[in-house]
Amino acid sequence: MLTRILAATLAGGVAFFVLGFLIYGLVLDPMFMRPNLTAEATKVMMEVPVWAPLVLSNFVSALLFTFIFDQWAGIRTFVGGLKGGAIIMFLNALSIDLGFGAFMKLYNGYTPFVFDIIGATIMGAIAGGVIGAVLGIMDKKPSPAAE
Amino acid sequence: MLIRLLAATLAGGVVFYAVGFVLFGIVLDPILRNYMTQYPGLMKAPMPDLLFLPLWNLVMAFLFAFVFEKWAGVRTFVGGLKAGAILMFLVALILDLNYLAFMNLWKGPIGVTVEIIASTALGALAAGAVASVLGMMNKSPATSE
Repeated sequence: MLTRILAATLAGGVAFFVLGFLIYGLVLDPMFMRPNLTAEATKVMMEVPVWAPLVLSNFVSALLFTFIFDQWAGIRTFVGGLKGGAIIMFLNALSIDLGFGAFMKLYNGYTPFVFDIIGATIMGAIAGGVIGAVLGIMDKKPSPAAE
Repeated sequence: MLIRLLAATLAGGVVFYAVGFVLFGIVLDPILRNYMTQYPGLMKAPMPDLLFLPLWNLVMAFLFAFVFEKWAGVRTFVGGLKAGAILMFLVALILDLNYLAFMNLWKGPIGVTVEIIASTALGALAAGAVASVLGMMNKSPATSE
């Protein structure tokens, strides 16, 4: 079980990292997030992210998905992971953005929050699919969860 | 199932809000401020947004309720406490690692560590409430603790 969790976490972490770069690094950040930062938020945001916590964050996200899929949900297919990942990531991104909205003057308007939630949900769905697929490849038992 | 999910979400949301207010708003706020760089005008002051804050608590509670009801079969306070601690620890760790990656906010590891521990405790209690309500409103046996 440990090897399966480690392999799925590794694959999911790589997926999160690559998708995060493509979705946020190339599209959402330059187009919707940075242009809408408030003057106060511009001071707190870094120009270039710090790599160690960024990479670690991707692997912890993958571990969260892997743990839920393997331990509780019995998800072991790409499509099952796609659905499960989309649900978890949508709710997680929504809660994080509501938290930002509650405590910080981060953006001018709500457009960046909407795109952040959409982007995170797509990223979580695909990474969840990868995790589900790896769990399935490394486990020969039939998936108990409804896909 | 929908009524059970809604009731559990409401109970978890109330615990998140009440315990979160005491833990973060009263006890930890003056401590954590010492470990954060202050940017005038960045934080909503003197009060947080009172529409988004309870919504945030309800969404987190719904995430727990959904995972417990749909996948984990957690329907006892102790089961929710354990599962909630695991989930909230990972969620808080992800959030704080993102703060460290993208924001000049925390001055060092102490504030981050305190915040993650407190969030884990808060999440565990809220998840315990969520699971208790799921258990009270569901007669089939729990599948995992």
